[in-house]
Formats: sequence, structure tokens, C-alpha cells
Amino acid sequence: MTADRESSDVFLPGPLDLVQLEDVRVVFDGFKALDIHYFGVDRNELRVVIGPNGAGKTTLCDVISGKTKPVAGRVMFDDVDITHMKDTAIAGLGVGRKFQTPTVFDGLTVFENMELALPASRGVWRNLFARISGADRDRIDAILARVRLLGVRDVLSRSLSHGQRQWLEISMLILSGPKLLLVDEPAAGLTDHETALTAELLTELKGQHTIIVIEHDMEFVRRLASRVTVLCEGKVLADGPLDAVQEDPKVIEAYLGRGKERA
Amino acid sequence: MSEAGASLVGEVPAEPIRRGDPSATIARAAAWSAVAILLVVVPTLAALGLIEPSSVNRMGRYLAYVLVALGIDLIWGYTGLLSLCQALFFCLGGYAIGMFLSTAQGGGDVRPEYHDIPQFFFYNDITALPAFWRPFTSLPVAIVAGLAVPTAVAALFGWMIFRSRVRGVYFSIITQALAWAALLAFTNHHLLMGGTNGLSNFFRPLNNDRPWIIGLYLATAVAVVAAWGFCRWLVGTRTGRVLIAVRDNESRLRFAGFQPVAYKVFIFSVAAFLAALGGLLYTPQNGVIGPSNMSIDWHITMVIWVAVGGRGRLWGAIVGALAVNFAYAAMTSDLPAVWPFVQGAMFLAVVLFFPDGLVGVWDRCAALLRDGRTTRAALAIAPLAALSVALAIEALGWWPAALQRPLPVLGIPLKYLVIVLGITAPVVAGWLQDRAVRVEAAS
Amino acid sequence: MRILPFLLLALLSAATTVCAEDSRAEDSRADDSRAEPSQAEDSVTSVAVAAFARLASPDADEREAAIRTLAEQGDARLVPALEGFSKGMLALRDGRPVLWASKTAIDGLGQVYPLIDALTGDPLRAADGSPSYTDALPSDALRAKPAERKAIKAVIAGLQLRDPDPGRSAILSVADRGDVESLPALREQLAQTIEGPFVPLLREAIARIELQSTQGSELIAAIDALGETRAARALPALQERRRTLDAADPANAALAVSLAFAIERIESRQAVLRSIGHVFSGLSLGSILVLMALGLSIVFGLMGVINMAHGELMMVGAYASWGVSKAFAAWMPGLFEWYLIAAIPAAFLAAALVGWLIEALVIRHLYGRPLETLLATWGISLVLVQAVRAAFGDLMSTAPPAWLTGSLAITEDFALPVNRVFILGFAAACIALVWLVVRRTRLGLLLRATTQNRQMAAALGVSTRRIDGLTFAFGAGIAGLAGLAVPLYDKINPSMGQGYIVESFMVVVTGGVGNLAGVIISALTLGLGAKFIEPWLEAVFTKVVLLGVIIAFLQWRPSGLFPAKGRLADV
Repeated sequence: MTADRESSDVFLPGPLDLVQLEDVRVVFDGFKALDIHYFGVDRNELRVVIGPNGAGKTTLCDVISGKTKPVAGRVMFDDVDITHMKDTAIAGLGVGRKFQTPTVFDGLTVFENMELALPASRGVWRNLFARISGADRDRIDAILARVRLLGVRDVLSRSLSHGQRQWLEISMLILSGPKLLLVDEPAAGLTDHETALTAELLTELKGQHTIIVIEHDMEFVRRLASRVTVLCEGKVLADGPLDAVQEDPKVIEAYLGRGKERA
Repeated sequence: MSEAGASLVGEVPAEPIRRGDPSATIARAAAWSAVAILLVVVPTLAALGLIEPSSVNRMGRYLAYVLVALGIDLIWGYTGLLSLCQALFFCLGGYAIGMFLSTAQGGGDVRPEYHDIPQFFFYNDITALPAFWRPFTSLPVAIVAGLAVPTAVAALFGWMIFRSRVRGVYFSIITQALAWAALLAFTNHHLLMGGTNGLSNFFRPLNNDRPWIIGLYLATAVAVVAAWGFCRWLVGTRTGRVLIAVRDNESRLRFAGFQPVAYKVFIFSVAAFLAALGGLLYTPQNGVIGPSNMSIDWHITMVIWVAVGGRGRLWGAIVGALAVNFAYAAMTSDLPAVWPFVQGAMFLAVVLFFPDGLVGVWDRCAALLRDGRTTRAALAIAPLAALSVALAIEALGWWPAALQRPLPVLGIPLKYLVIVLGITAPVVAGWLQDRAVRVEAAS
Repeated sequence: MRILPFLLLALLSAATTVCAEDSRAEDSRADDSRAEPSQAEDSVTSVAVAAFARLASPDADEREAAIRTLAEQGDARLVPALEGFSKGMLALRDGRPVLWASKTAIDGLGQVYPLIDALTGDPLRAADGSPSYTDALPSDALRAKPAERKAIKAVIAGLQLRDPDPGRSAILSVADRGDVESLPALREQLAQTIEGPFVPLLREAIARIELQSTQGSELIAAIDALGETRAARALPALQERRRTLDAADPANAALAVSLAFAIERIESRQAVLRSIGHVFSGLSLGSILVLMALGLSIVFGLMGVINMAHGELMMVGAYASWGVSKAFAAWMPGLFEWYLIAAIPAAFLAAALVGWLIEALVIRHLYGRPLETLLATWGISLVLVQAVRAAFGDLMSTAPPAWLTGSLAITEDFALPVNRVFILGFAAACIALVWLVVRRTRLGLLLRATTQNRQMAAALGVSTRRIDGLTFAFGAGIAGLAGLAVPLYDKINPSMGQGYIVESFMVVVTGGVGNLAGVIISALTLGLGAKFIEPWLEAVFTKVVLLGVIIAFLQWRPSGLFPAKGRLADV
């Protein structure tokens, strides 16, 4: 209880924050997966969320994207209360999500995958007669070139490598131009080279998009050089630049207490 | 590690589609010749009397099945929803036109002693046409209703079950239950739809008289070509891509802001429309439509046509429907007791060993062609070609009498031996050639 | 806690012993009361013996006189002998009438007639004291001439009524005929019989006869008495009375009120009985569904496999049971009554074997592809149906054992068919078996572990493949047991499974996949629902309505009553 009160002093709600979670609680079968007094991300900020296993990182993503509904509290996005909105409606407001395991549409080519991510109508009838404009085509090609997928533009995405699928998914997110990007473990299963490229990509996007990155890999987090929030047992433990957070005794305890020197 | 990563990033793992691909040329030529055969050659031969009217009639009926198969390919092959009630929509269309054809206005076999209404009403003690039958005395109304009612039923039913996120096998089970409930209802004579016997006693010349037969055949062939064109267009649109995305990963699609429910309802309705169109064209050519056309196994059999042809590819559905039905026609006349075994084996074989169906055979041939291995490609496609020729002869009713004669010991007609040889010989030859290539590569 | 069942068992056996002793005591009391007029009975017997001897005479007048003599005795114990005489199953042996009783199967002799004393009903004994049998009808049978049979019938009816324990059917037949002349006899009986099962029957019979024959206050009393008995048999006559009653006549007002009240009472009782009947037949229908759906649910729950051939596994069980019955009839006719005991393991094992083969040959290669499995198993079902059709032909039926035919009278006018009762009990036993296997055996433990977390179970060294095979075989065996029950009330044919498969799947979906309690609840609910809707709608439309209800239900709870959690939720 005292920890909560303390944290409320430290993390004052920013009225301009794009995403605001207030007193959000998520319970799975009696287990408190998430218990957050306040969590906010400012516009055009790149925020990294770290924490030990089971800290509630993915649940946080699920709550924001509407996949999981909190039992209490309020979730605001862009001054809209999205606590009880459906996942598709939240996506429509501009919350884009990249899942932990890359999920692209295997039966479609890389280009077709990108085409579905275009910020266009999602209706059946419109899409029957939709034609892709030259400008959109160029935009897609530009992004694909940036992530080095232009060469496989017309290949079915089922035959892409793991890294290529990760980037394709990130590219799709970028293309859909969401106000918020939720990126869940983008470096998982990538080679060092691919990790570096992914970090570079995300840093480039900083300033144009609001991004929440969830990550385990400290090397990767360091490369992003952004504000870090530490979650532990569903609670916000610390917040600030990576170096400062790493000095925080509570964080060290949370990690060391579990016998893992990862921070 | 980073070296490997770098090479991975830039690599192109699959071959891009090249223009001037020989298989693409062949496919295009095959498609155009198929259209020409359907629309020009067969009607001409039929008009000249070179094809028996009964064979033309049979072709017309099987082409009506092709329409259903196209719908099943859209909903199952492209969207990944296994609907087990397509024959119901087929029958709804068929019953609509059957109602018109049963009435006095539609030229039905009505008699004064039965009050000039279809005879089965006699068993319901009804002496005047029931109110819901009356609109069907007009052909345009019957056609419009025959297409609109199944489509609307599919839309409503689809909306109800997709909305509650019924997915996967649950969808299949519920559609099967719907089909079954409908079967029970239509079997009951209180529904005033002819009960177990269904609707028959239509205007006689429809499936007896050469001009009528050729006319209905042509109408069906035109409908098939048009439906094929429509489906091709549909799967090429962005909506078509969303359908594939529904099949591949529905929840991902939802997070991209799409409403999968709308797309599923749409494609379910389109599939129902195509099935209804098939029923509409089938019934006059068949002369009867009844509950047996929507029995539980019939729904699944229709799915198997598409599986045999190869789902997710439109021509697979077309070829599958025709191939299975002509095989059925041939075998039920020659070896009726064997057919259920063949059909069951076909279900198993397609699912276990040839998940891509006949389309898979062609794909393999096309890949070999691209590699420049022309002989091997020819051997790969030869069994399919042999089967096609055999089924084409069957369709036209052109088997020479010598091949129809039963073999002395087995008692089956000689033609089956020829067909089996025609299919197995190239398979064996291809296997031998593969081995030769391997041996050569090893040495 | 372990002792509890034994305690219960002990209690139960004690109770039965006490009851048995009670009834024996009653028997002996009855014997005592009979012992008193033994002197008179002896005279009856000797007269009867003489009379039967005269029946052998060729002279018609002589025989008529003998029959009259027998009628005058007024003793109901003469009835079996008279019936035997009427049918030609009676003969004189050593001057005493001997009856050829109905044929029964005796070990070593085949189907033979037991010989019994026509007057005492005791078996005729040979010199060594063993009962006598014969395989031939008597050549010197005493047989009534066709002209005499009517007279004998009347004599029998009269004698039956005078019986100290009058036969049910005798009373009923008198009442049905509205036989006014029997009224005094009936009243006399009622006066003698203070209590016992026949009292309401006697009252009813008297009232029914009076309903036809009396007027005024007596009639009203009769109607009230009928209302009191609540017997359905009186309803048509009462309704007929009401229909023909001139209601406008004020003199009939009291009569009309009495009639309405009596009819109301009878009808409300009938409504209650009907409801019980519906509940029973609903449960009985549901119990077959339970047996079908249990196996499906286990298989679906464990492997996510849609087995369209499940109905055919049921058919295999039915044919196995049919085969066992035929084998018994051919080789062990004496034990035919008990063939079901052998058929239970046979049906289970036959279906389990076929199921095991299906799993090993086909389904094993299709895990994770439920739609393909659906199609492949449908292909299997086609092959199985055709194979059985080729081997055995269409439409088989087998005579159920005699103890499963007929009905179990619960009250005077309410009976349950024995075969349905048996099926209900059988289903309950199967549910208990499934529960025991799943909850109390090692296989069940491994099964549950594999269902909940396949990877983890595999990591712990469980051979999940073997568990899959065994589970599939077990589910198939349950379907086979369902098949065993079907020939008890219906004909069997190779495609019988298809009639059940859709409903079974609806049960599984409604109940929640992999949840046995859900399956049982939804199957019984569907069965009950069907039987309660049927009186209003035809059976066919009932199924349509139920389907609509299920679809509406799934709108509300898409994953059924008890939704599966975790991996299954994504199937």
C-alpha cells in the first residue's frame, strides 16, 4: 500500500499523455496480473517497458489494445475512454499492435500484406472496388526498401525468414500510421544484426509516432536510449532513463531477488 | 552470426513469378480453350447430333454443381470456413424454380381432378394454391426469390453465428445442424413443399427435348463462365485479400482494424448465392428437386469435389466438381456397389496424401517446367491428362463399344483397365526418371 | 469415508431380508386362512375329477352336464383346467386331469411341455420325483368342440369373479362390457375384500357399470366414485355422458357438476402421469444421446478431433451386439435370455478396436487439422457403412430378451416400457464407468494431463500418442455401448449412425467441449425438451425448434454451458 502511495507521488499524471491507465487492475483466476496506479505515455514518446517474467508486460499491451478487459480502472487513449471498447474499435482509433510472435498473413504476398495495412476503409464494399494509388504504392515500396524486403515484395510471406516476418509486421504497423504502436518483444529470436537493425528502425520512428516497446533484451533497450518503465508483479516499480532505473535499489532487488542479474 | 544475419536479410527465398513462364502460357491457353469448348464446341456438337441429348443434359447438371463448388472454394478454400450446408442453398434455389415449374403457369403437370394445382397437395387436402406459393407462379419472381432467399438466409444465419465468434469446427457443426434441420423440415409434407418426394412433374420437354436441353445447357455454361469471371475478380480485389487474411490469422486482422464478421457474412452470402444459382439451373434439367438433394452426406460430398480439385484455386473447384461427378456417373452405371468405397477412399486419399488435390499435380508440373525439365513435367501431368481424357470421353458418351465390354475374370469394363494404366504408367515412368536423375547426380 | 458404501450395502441387504421375511410371513398367514375350508375343497376336487373324466365322453349331453357341474362348483381353481380343455391341452392321466403347460426351454431336452396337475398346479412327478416333460402334445387330448367353447368361456368368466382373489382382467372385462348381471358378484367381492390391491379396481368396475345402468342420485354417486378412483378407463364413458347430457335441463344441473368435477379430477391426474411419461421418455432419449456424446466429447476434448465416423462406431457396436445375439440363438439357446451380458463387452471391444484402427491409420496423421480430420473421418464412415452393408445387408433386427419386453406397471394405469428403463439404467452405468475411468484410473489421469497440457505431459514422459490411441478407442467403445442399446427398441441398419451424429455434436457443442457434466446436462435437457415440445409440434419440427434454441443459446454462450479453457478454446 505504501509503495503505491509513494509511486503516485513520483509519477504524476501528465494531462497531455496519449495513453493513460488509471487504477487499472486485471485479475486472472484470482491472480493479480496487473495492478497499476498510473501509467502514461506522452505523444511521440518511445517508452520501453521492462520487467522480469510474469511482470504483466504483455497484459499491459493486451489492456491497451482491448484484448483483455480490466476488472477495475480506466484506460484513456487520445482523450477517449477505451476501457470497454471492442478491440477492432480501439484499432480504429489508432492503436496498432505487433505481437510477440510475428503474425503476418501467410497466404498473401509481402506487398498484399502491406496493402491490407494501408490506412484505408476497412469495409467489405469499399474494398471490392478499392484500387491502390501510385502514392500508396510508392510509400509501401519505400518502407519495404527501408526494411530490405523490396526484393521479396511479390513472394508469399509464408516463405519469409523469422526476421523478415518481424520487419514485415513492423512495416505494416508503420504503414497503417497509428497514433500508438505497441511493439511486443521485437528482438525475440533475431540475430544480433537483425536486432541492431530493428533498434535503428524504432529509433528512427521516435518523434513521429508514439511507441511502447516491451523487451527483455537489455542490449536492445540500451540501443533505444529512451525512458524506461519497470514492471514487477503487475505494479510499476520504477520509471526513468535506463541508467537511473538500473541504479534503483527496488529494481535491483526485483531482479536480484529472483536470482537473475539482467538489468 | 552477424554474417549469417546479413545474408538472410537480403535473400530472396522463393522464386519471383517470371513473365513468359511456360506454365502460365499453358494455363492461359487451357482456360480459353475450356471456355471455347463449354460455350461453342459442345453446343455445336450437340446441335449436330454428335452428342446424345442425355449426355448434354448430364453435362448441364454437372456444370450446375460447378457453381456450388465455386462458392465452396470461396468460403472454404479462400476464407477457411468449412460450410457444411451449401446443398441447402442449392436446394432453396432449386425449390424456388421447382415451385414455378410445378404450377399451371410454369407448365407443370397439373390436372383438373387435382384442382389444377400440383398433385401432392392432394395429400394435404388442399384445393387451392397456398398463399406463399402464389408469387411463384411468375418466373421472374421465382428466379429473384430463388436467388435472394438463400442469400438472405445465409446472411442472417451467418451474421448470427459469426457475431458470437463461432469459429473453426464449431462453424462446420452448426452449419451441418442447420442443414439437417432443414432436411427434416423439407421431408415433412406439412411444409407444403412436396415432402419426401420433393417437387417433380414439371413441364416435360425441359429434360427430354433437344432444343430445351441445349438451351438449358448453354444457360448453365454461360453462368459458370460468368461466375468464374466474377470469382476471379472477387479474389483479386482487396476484399479477396482480406478473405485470405481471415483464413490465415483472424485475430491479427481484427487488430488491423478489420471486422472479420462482415467479410465472413459477405462471403457466406456470396457462396450461398452461387449455390442457389446452381440449384436454379439444375432443377429444370434434372426434372425433380427434393430433400435427397440436401441429405447430410451430399453437403460433405460437395466439399470433397473442391478438395479433390484443390482448394484455394478457382479452377481446382471447377475441375474437381466435374471430375468427381463424371467418375461417379461412370462408376455407378458400371460398378454401383464399389462407388461408396471409391468415394470414401477418395476422401481419405485427398486429405492424407494429396492435400492440394489436382491443383497440386499441376503445380508440380509447372515447377518442373520452370526448371526446364520438360519431359519430367510432361510425365507429371500425364496422369491428370489421362484422367481428363477419360472423363471427357465419359462426359461426351463416346466410349467405343469394345472398351465397354466387361473383362472376363474381373467383370469390370475394359475401359477401367485403360484408365488405370493411363494414370499409373506415367507415374511409374516419372519415378524411374527421378531415380535416374538421382543416380546420375550421385555419380 | 471408504466404509460408507459397505455400510449402505449392509443396510440395503438387511432391509431386503426383512422385507422378504415379511412377505413370507404374509404367505404363511394366507396359507393359514386357506387351511380352514380344506375339507370343502377336497370335495370340490373329487367332484371336479369326476366331471373332467365325464368330459372324455363322446356324448354331447354328457359333456354339457359335466361342464354345468364344474360351473356349479364356483371354484376359481378350476379355471386353468377349463382353459386347457378349451385349447386341447388337457388329458387324463390315471383318471386325473393333467395340463400341458406352455413350452419352455429345458437343458438337455430343448423346447418341451412341462406336465402339471390341472387342479393343483403342481408339476407331475416321475417315480424318482423329478418333474415330467414331454415334447409331444397328448394324442388323447380332451378338446372342447367349437360349439362348447363359448359356454366354457362364460363359465370361466363366472368362476374368475367368484375367486377369493379375483383376477384383474376378469374385473376389467366385466366393467368394459358393462355387465349389469355381474354387479351383485362384484359387490359381494368388495364386501369380502376389505383391503388389498383390488379394492379400487372393484369400486371402479362397480361405478363404471352403474354409470351405464343407474339414474338419479345413484348415478351421481357412481360418477363421484369414478372421480375418486381417477381411473383413465372411465374417462371416455364420462365424456360420452357429458356430451349426451341435456345441459339446458335444470334437472341435470347436479349431474353436470358431478360429471365436470369427475372428468376434471381424472384429467388432471392424467396430465401428471403424462408429464412423468414425458420426463421418462425424454430422459430415455437423452440417455442414448449421452452415450453417443460422451465418447465424442472425450475425443474432441483430448485431441480436438471431430470424428464424423462416431455414428458408425455406434453402428459397429449395434452389429456386434446383433452378432452375439445370433451366436447365442444358434449355439446356446438356453442362455439366450442373457446374451446381453456377453454383448456388452463385445460391443465395447468391437467399436474400440475399429476406433483404435481409425486413430492409428488416419487421425494420427491429421492432428492440428480439424477440418481435414472431419472430412477424412466422413470418408471412413462411408467405407464402414458400405462394408457392413456388403457383409450383412440392410435392416437387421434381433429379438430382445424376454425380460426386456413388456412394461413395468408403476400404478394401475401407468406403465414404463422395460427396455427404456433398462437403457436408462445402462446409460447411468456407462456414465459411472466413464467417470471412474477418467477420475480414478491411471489412464484417466494421463488422459486429463494430456488434455490440459500436451507438451508438459510429453515432457514428463507420458507417451501422448499412446494416450491418444487409447482414448480414441475408449471413446469409440462408449459409442459401441450406445449401439448396444439401439437394437433393444429399434431396427438396426448400416447407416443408422448418421441419424445420431448431428444431434450428438449439438449436444457436445451445447455442453461445452470436453466437459462431461456439460454433455450429460445438455443431452438430458435436449431429450426432455424434445419430448415436451413434441405433443404440440410434430417430431420433425421439434428438432428444428430445438436447433433454433441451440443457435440462440450459442449467441449467448458461444462456448457452450461449460466453456473449455486454454488450448481447447482455440480449436
